[in-house]
Amino acid sequence: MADGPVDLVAARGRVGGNRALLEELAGIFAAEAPARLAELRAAVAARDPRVIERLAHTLKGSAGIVGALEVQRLGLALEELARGRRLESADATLARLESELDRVVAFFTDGAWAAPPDGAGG
Amino acid sequence: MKVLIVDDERVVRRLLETSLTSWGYEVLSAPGGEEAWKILQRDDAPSLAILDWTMPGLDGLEVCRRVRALGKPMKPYLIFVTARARTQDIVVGLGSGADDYIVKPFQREELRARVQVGVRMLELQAMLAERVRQLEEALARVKQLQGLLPICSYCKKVRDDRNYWQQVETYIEGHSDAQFTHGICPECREKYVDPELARIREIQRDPP
Repeated sequence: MADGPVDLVAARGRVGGNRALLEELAGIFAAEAPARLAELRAAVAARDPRVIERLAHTLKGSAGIVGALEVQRLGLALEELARGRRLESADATLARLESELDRVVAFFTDGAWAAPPDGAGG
Repeated sequence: MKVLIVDDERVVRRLLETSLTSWGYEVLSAPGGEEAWKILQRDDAPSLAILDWTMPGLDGLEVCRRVRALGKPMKPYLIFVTARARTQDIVVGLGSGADDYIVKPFQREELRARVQVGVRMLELQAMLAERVRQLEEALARVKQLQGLLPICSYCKKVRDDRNYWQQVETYIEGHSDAQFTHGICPECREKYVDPELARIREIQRDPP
Protein backbone atom coordinates (compact mmCIF):
# COMPACT_ATOMS: atom_id res chain seq x y z
CA MET A 1 0.00 0.00 0.00
CA ALA A 2 2.98 2.27 0.63
CA ASP A 3 3.69 2.39 -3.12
CA GLY A 4 0.14 3.40 -4.00
CA PRO A 5 -1.05 6.97 -4.48
CA VAL A 6 -2.87 6.95 -1.14
CA ASP A 7 -1.50 6.46 2.35
CA LEU A 8 -4.43 4.63 3.91
CA VAL A 9 -2.86 4.49 7.33
CA ALA A 10 -2.66 8.29 7.38
CA ALA A 11 -6.19 8.57 5.99
CA ARG A 12 -7.66 6.16 8.56
CA GLY A 13 -5.90 8.14 11.26
CA ARG A 14 -7.56 11.34 10.05
CA VAL A 15 -11.04 9.86 10.35
CA GLY A 16 -10.39 8.16 13.68
CA GLY A 17 -10.73 4.72 12.09
CA ASN A 18 -14.26 5.41 10.84
CA ARG A 19 -14.23 3.31 7.66
CA ALA A 20 -17.64 4.42 6.39
CA LEU A 21 -16.63 8.05 6.78
CA LEU A 22 -13.37 7.52 4.91
CA GLU A 23 -15.26 5.85 2.05
CA GLU A 24 -17.65 8.80 1.94
CA LEU A 25 -14.82 11.36 1.96
CA ALA A 26 -12.89 9.44 -0.72
CA GLY A 27 -16.05 9.37 -2.83
CA ILE A 28 -16.51 13.13 -2.49
CA PHE A 29 -12.82 13.75 -3.25
CA ALA A 30 -12.87 11.57 -6.38
CA ALA A 31 -16.15 13.05 -7.59
CA GLU A 32 -14.98 16.63 -7.20
CA ALA A 33 -11.46 16.11 -8.55
CA PRO A 34 -12.22 16.71 -12.27
CA ALA A 35 -13.95 20.04 -11.56
CA ARG A 36 -11.13 21.06 -9.22
CA LEU A 37 -8.57 20.25 -11.84
CA ALA A 38 -10.47 22.12 -14.54
CA GLU A 39 -10.60 25.26 -12.36
CA LEU A 40 -6.92 24.95 -11.56
CA ARG A 41 -6.03 24.42 -15.20
CA ALA A 42 -7.99 27.52 -16.19
CA ALA A 43 -6.32 29.60 -13.47
CA VAL A 44 -2.84 28.45 -14.51
CA ALA A 45 -3.66 29.18 -18.17
CA ALA A 46 -4.87 32.65 -17.13
CA ARG A 47 -1.74 33.14 -14.99
CA ASP A 48 -3.90 34.27 -12.08
CA PRO A 49 -1.74 33.74 -8.98
CA ARG A 50 -4.46 34.58 -6.45
CA VAL A 51 -6.90 32.01 -7.79
CA ILE A 52 -4.15 29.42 -8.29
CA GLU A 53 -3.04 29.94 -4.70
CA ARG A 54 -6.56 29.51 -3.33
CA LEU A 55 -7.45 26.47 -5.45
CA ALA A 56 -4.13 24.72 -4.81
CA HIS A 57 -4.43 25.49 -1.11
CA THR A 58 -7.93 23.99 -0.94
CA LEU A 59 -6.97 20.89 -2.90
CA LYS A 60 -3.98 20.42 -0.62
CA GLY A 61 -6.26 20.45 2.43
CA SER A 62 -8.65 17.74 1.32
CA ALA A 63 -5.89 15.63 -0.29
CA GLY A 64 -4.21 15.53 3.13
CA ILE A 65 -7.40 14.27 4.74
CA VAL A 66 -7.92 11.36 2.35
CA GLY A 67 -4.25 10.35 2.47
CA ALA A 68 -3.32 11.53 -1.05
CA LEU A 69 -0.02 12.78 0.26
CA GLU A 70 1.69 13.33 -3.10
CA VAL A 71 -1.27 15.42 -4.31
CA GLN A 72 -1.03 17.30 -1.04
CA ARG A 73 2.69 17.93 -1.63
CA LEU A 74 2.16 19.06 -5.24
CA GLY A 75 -0.72 21.27 -4.16
CA LEU A 76 1.54 22.94 -1.64
CA ALA A 77 4.24 23.38 -4.29
CA LEU A 78 1.77 25.04 -6.67
CA GLU A 79 0.41 27.22 -3.88
CA GLU A 80 3.91 28.41 -3.05
CA LEU A 81 4.75 29.10 -6.68
CA ALA A 82 1.62 31.23 -6.94
CA ARG A 83 2.30 33.05 -3.69
CA GLY A 84 5.85 33.81 -4.79
CA ARG A 85 4.55 34.87 -8.23
CA ARG A 86 6.89 32.32 -9.81
CA LEU A 87 4.48 30.92 -12.35
CA GLU A 88 7.03 29.93 -15.00
CA SER A 89 7.18 26.36 -13.61
CA ALA A 90 3.47 26.22 -12.73
CA ASP A 91 2.59 24.27 -15.89
CA ALA A 92 5.06 21.51 -15.09
CA THR A 93 3.85 21.24 -11.49
CA LEU A 94 0.24 21.24 -12.65
CA ALA A 95 1.02 18.42 -15.11
CA ARG A 96 2.48 16.31 -12.30
CA LEU A 97 -0.48 17.15 -10.09
CA GLU A 98 -2.88 16.08 -12.84
CA SER A 99 -1.31 12.68 -13.32
CA GLU A 100 -1.04 12.11 -9.58
CA LEU A 101 -4.66 13.12 -9.07
CA ASP A 102 -5.66 10.68 -11.83
CA ARG A 103 -3.94 7.87 -9.92
CA VAL A 104 -5.71 8.84 -6.70
CA VAL A 105 -9.11 9.00 -8.38
CA ALA A 106 -8.50 5.62 -10.03
CA PHE A 107 -7.47 4.17 -6.69
CA PHE A 108 -10.59 5.41 -4.91
CA THR A 109 -12.92 4.57 -7.78
CA ASP A 110 -11.66 1.00 -7.86
CA GLY A 111 -13.24 0.29 -4.48
CA ALA A 112 -10.89 -2.59 -3.62
CA TRP A 113 -9.03 -0.32 -1.23
CA ALA A 114 -11.99 -0.12 1.10
CA ALA A 115 -11.93 -3.86 1.88
CA PRO A 116 -9.91 -4.11 5.08
CA PRO A 117 -7.20 -6.73 5.39
CA ASP A 118 -8.11 -9.58 7.72
CA GLY A 119 -7.94 -8.57 11.34
CA ALA A 120 -7.47 -4.91 10.61
CA GLY A 121 -9.59 -2.76 12.87
CA GLY A 122 -11.98 -0.36 11.14
CA MET B 1 -24.14 22.94 22.36
CA LYS B 2 -24.57 24.25 18.84
CA VAL B 3 -21.43 24.46 16.66
CA LEU B 4 -21.14 26.16 13.28
CA ILE B 5 -18.77 24.65 10.72
CA VAL B 6 -17.64 26.87 7.89
CA ASP B 7 -15.56 25.42 5.06
CA ASP B 8 -15.87 25.56 1.29
CA GLU B 9 -14.30 22.09 1.02
CA ARG B 10 -16.94 19.37 1.16
CA VAL B 11 -14.42 16.77 2.32
CA VAL B 12 -13.36 18.90 5.27
CA ARG B 13 -16.93 19.96 6.08
CA ARG B 14 -18.13 16.37 6.08
CA LEU B 15 -15.23 15.24 8.28
CA LEU B 16 -15.94 18.03 10.76
CA GLU B 17 -19.71 17.44 10.74
CA THR B 18 -19.35 13.72 11.37
CA SER B 19 -16.72 14.18 14.06
CA LEU B 20 -18.57 16.88 15.99
CA THR B 21 -21.90 15.08 15.74
CA SER B 22 -20.31 11.91 17.11
CA TRP B 23 -18.94 13.96 20.03
CA GLY B 24 -22.44 15.08 20.90
CA TYR B 25 -22.58 18.55 19.41
CA GLU B 26 -25.47 19.96 17.44
CA VAL B 27 -23.94 20.88 14.10
CA LEU B 28 -24.81 23.59 11.62
CA SER B 29 -22.68 24.04 8.53
CA ALA B 30 -22.04 26.68 5.95
CA PRO B 31 -20.14 26.29 2.67
CA GLY B 32 -18.83 29.86 2.65
CA GLY B 33 -18.25 33.12 4.48
CA GLU B 34 -21.46 34.86 3.37
CA GLU B 35 -23.67 32.07 4.72
CA ALA B 36 -21.65 31.93 7.94
CA TRP B 37 -21.92 35.68 8.46
CA LYS B 38 -25.72 35.49 8.10
CA ILE B 39 -25.96 32.67 10.64
CA LEU B 40 -23.63 34.36 13.13
CA GLN B 41 -25.72 37.54 13.19
CA ARG B 42 -28.86 35.69 14.25
CA ASP B 43 -30.11 35.83 17.82
CA ASP B 44 -29.89 32.04 18.08
CA ALA B 45 -26.40 31.94 16.51
CA PRO B 46 -24.19 29.02 17.58
CA SER B 47 -21.86 30.00 20.40
CA LEU B 48 -18.90 28.17 18.87
CA ALA B 49 -17.75 28.32 15.27
CA ILE B 50 -15.04 26.46 13.38
CA LEU B 51 -13.88 28.65 10.54
CA ASP B 52 -11.84 27.94 7.45
CA TRP B 53 -9.76 30.93 6.41
CA THR B 54 -9.29 30.62 2.65
CA MET B 55 -12.67 30.69 0.94
CA PRO B 56 -13.91 32.42 -2.21
CA GLY B 57 -15.90 35.59 -1.53
CA LEU B 58 -16.04 36.48 2.16
CA ASP B 59 -13.11 34.68 3.75
CA GLY B 60 -12.83 33.40 7.32
CA LEU B 61 -10.66 36.27 8.45
CA GLU B 62 -13.27 38.83 7.41
CA VAL B 63 -16.06 36.79 9.04
CA CYS B 64 -14.05 36.74 12.25
CA ARG B 65 -13.46 40.51 12.17
CA ARG B 66 -17.13 41.22 11.49
CA VAL B 67 -18.30 38.96 14.30
CA ARG B 68 -15.99 40.69 16.75
CA ALA B 69 -17.17 44.11 15.55
CA LEU B 70 -20.77 43.09 16.28
CA GLY B 71 -19.97 43.50 19.98
CA LYS B 72 -22.52 40.95 21.19
CA PRO B 73 -22.52 40.62 24.99
CA MET B 74 -22.01 36.86 24.70
CA LYS B 75 -19.10 36.52 22.30
CA PRO B 76 -18.96 33.34 20.23
CA TYR B 77 -15.83 31.22 20.51
CA LEU B 78 -14.10 31.17 17.12
CA ILE B 79 -11.58 28.54 16.05
CA PHE B 80 -9.71 28.80 12.78
CA VAL B 81 -9.10 25.44 11.12
CA THR B 82 -6.93 26.24 8.15
CA ALA B 83 -4.06 24.92 6.07
CA ARG B 84 -2.29 28.25 6.48
CA ALA B 85 0.49 27.08 8.71
CA ARG B 86 2.95 29.98 8.67
CA THR B 87 3.63 31.81 11.92
CA GLN B 88 2.58 35.12 10.39
CA ASP B 89 -0.77 33.58 9.40
CA ILE B 90 -1.36 32.32 12.94
CA VAL B 91 -0.51 35.78 14.30
CA VAL B 92 -2.88 37.51 11.87
CA GLY B 93 -5.62 34.92 12.48
CA LEU B 94 -5.55 35.27 16.24
CA GLY B 95 -5.10 39.03 15.90
CA SER B 96 -8.38 39.24 13.99
CA GLY B 97 -10.19 38.06 17.09
CA ALA B 98 -10.12 34.27 16.80
CA ASP B 99 -9.81 32.37 20.06
CA ASP B 100 -7.85 29.42 18.71
CA TYR B 101 -6.05 28.22 15.60
CA ILE B 102 -5.64 24.69 14.26
CA VAL B 103 -3.56 23.79 11.22
CA LYS B 104 -4.92 21.38 8.58
CA PRO B 105 -4.67 18.52 8.17
CA PHE B 106 -5.63 18.26 11.83
CA GLN B 107 -5.72 15.34 14.19
CA ARG B 108 -9.28 14.66 15.30
CA GLU B 109 -8.37 14.23 18.94
CA GLU B 110 -6.61 17.58 18.98
CA LEU B 111 -9.65 19.23 17.44
CA ARG B 112 -11.88 17.56 20.01
CA ALA B 113 -9.71 18.75 22.90
CA ARG B 114 -9.61 22.30 21.56
CA VAL B 115 -13.36 22.40 21.07
CA GLN B 116 -13.70 21.26 24.68
CA VAL B 117 -11.50 24.18 25.75
CA GLY B 118 -13.90 26.44 23.86
CA VAL B 119 -16.87 24.93 25.66
CA ARG B 120 -15.14 25.50 29.02
CA MET B 121 -14.45 29.13 28.10
CA LEU B 122 -18.06 29.67 27.05
CA GLU B 123 -19.33 28.11 30.28
CA LEU B 124 -17.01 30.37 32.26
CA GLN B 125 -18.19 33.40 30.30
CA ALA B 126 -21.83 32.44 30.91
CA MET B 127 -21.20 31.89 34.62
CA LEU B 128 -19.49 35.26 35.00
CA ALA B 129 -22.27 36.99 33.07
CA GLU B 130 -24.84 35.39 35.38
CA ARG B 131 -22.86 36.47 38.46
CA VAL B 132 -22.67 40.06 37.17
CA ARG B 133 -26.41 40.01 36.51
CA GLN B 134 -27.07 38.82 40.07
CA LEU B 135 -24.82 41.52 41.52
CA GLU B 136 -26.49 44.23 39.46
CA GLU B 137 -29.86 43.02 40.64
CA ALA B 138 -28.71 43.05 44.28
CA LEU B 139 -27.22 46.49 43.86
CA ALA B 140 -30.47 47.83 42.48
CA ARG B 141 -32.26 46.58 45.61
CA VAL B 142 -29.92 48.33 48.01
CA LYS B 143 -31.01 51.90 48.67
CA GLN B 144 -27.74 53.67 48.97
CA LEU B 145 -26.93 56.43 51.42
CA GLN B 146 -25.08 58.96 49.41
CA GLY B 147 -25.13 62.55 48.31
CA LEU B 148 -26.03 65.70 50.25
CA LEU B 149 -28.55 65.25 53.06
CA PRO B 150 -30.33 68.43 54.34
CA ILE B 151 -30.40 68.34 58.16
CA CYS B 152 -32.06 70.78 60.59
CA SER B 153 -29.43 72.60 62.64
CA TYR B 154 -31.66 72.56 65.71
CA CYS B 155 -33.67 69.36 65.90
CA LYS B 156 -31.40 67.30 63.61
CA LYS B 157 -34.27 66.01 61.47
CA VAL B 158 -33.31 65.29 57.88
CA ARG B 159 -35.29 66.09 54.76
CA ASP B 160 -36.05 62.99 52.67
CA ASP B 161 -36.38 62.56 48.90
CA ARG B 162 -40.06 63.51 49.05
CA ASN B 163 -39.42 66.71 51.00
CA TYR B 164 -40.63 65.39 54.39
CA TRP B 165 -38.65 66.03 57.55
CA GLN B 166 -37.85 62.82 59.38
CA GLN B 167 -35.93 61.70 62.43
CA VAL B 168 -32.42 60.68 61.42
CA GLU B 169 -32.99 57.09 62.51
CA THR B 170 -36.19 56.78 60.48
CA TYR B 171 -34.39 58.05 57.44
CA ILE B 172 -31.36 55.77 57.80
CA GLU B 173 -33.53 52.72 58.51
CA GLY B 174 -35.46 53.43 55.33
CA HIS B 175 -32.36 53.85 53.19
CA SER B 176 -30.12 51.06 54.38
CA ASP B 177 -30.13 47.70 56.07
CA ALA B 178 -29.09 49.33 59.40
CA GLN B 179 -31.41 49.20 62.43
CA PHE B 180 -31.27 51.17 65.65
CA THR B 181 -31.35 50.07 69.27
CA HIS B 182 -32.04 52.98 71.58
CA GLY B 183 -29.86 53.89 74.54
CA ILE B 184 -28.58 57.01 76.34
CA CYS B 185 -25.06 58.36 76.14
CA PRO B 186 -23.34 59.57 79.36
CA GLU B 187 -23.50 63.24 78.35
CA CYS B 188 -27.24 63.11 77.66
CA ARG B 189 -27.79 61.16 80.83
CA GLU B 190 -26.16 64.00 82.77
CA LYS B 191 -27.87 66.70 80.77
CA TYR B 192 -31.42 65.32 80.51
CA VAL B 193 -31.99 62.17 82.54
CA ASP B 194 -30.35 63.09 85.83
CA PRO B 195 -32.15 66.46 86.19
CA GLU B 196 -35.45 64.72 85.28
CA LEU B 197 -34.90 62.02 87.90
CA ALA B 198 -34.02 64.69 90.46
CA ARG B 199 -37.22 66.52 89.63
CA ILE B 200 -39.29 63.34 90.02
CA ARG B 201 -37.67 62.56 93.37
CA GLU B 202 -38.40 66.12 94.51
CA ILE B 203 -42.06 65.77 93.55
CA GLN B 204 -42.29 62.46 95.43
CA ARG B 205 -40.79 64.08 98.53
CA ASP B 206 -42.94 67.19 98.42
CA PRO B 207 -46.13 66.37 96.57
CA PRO B 208 -47.89 69.49 95.29
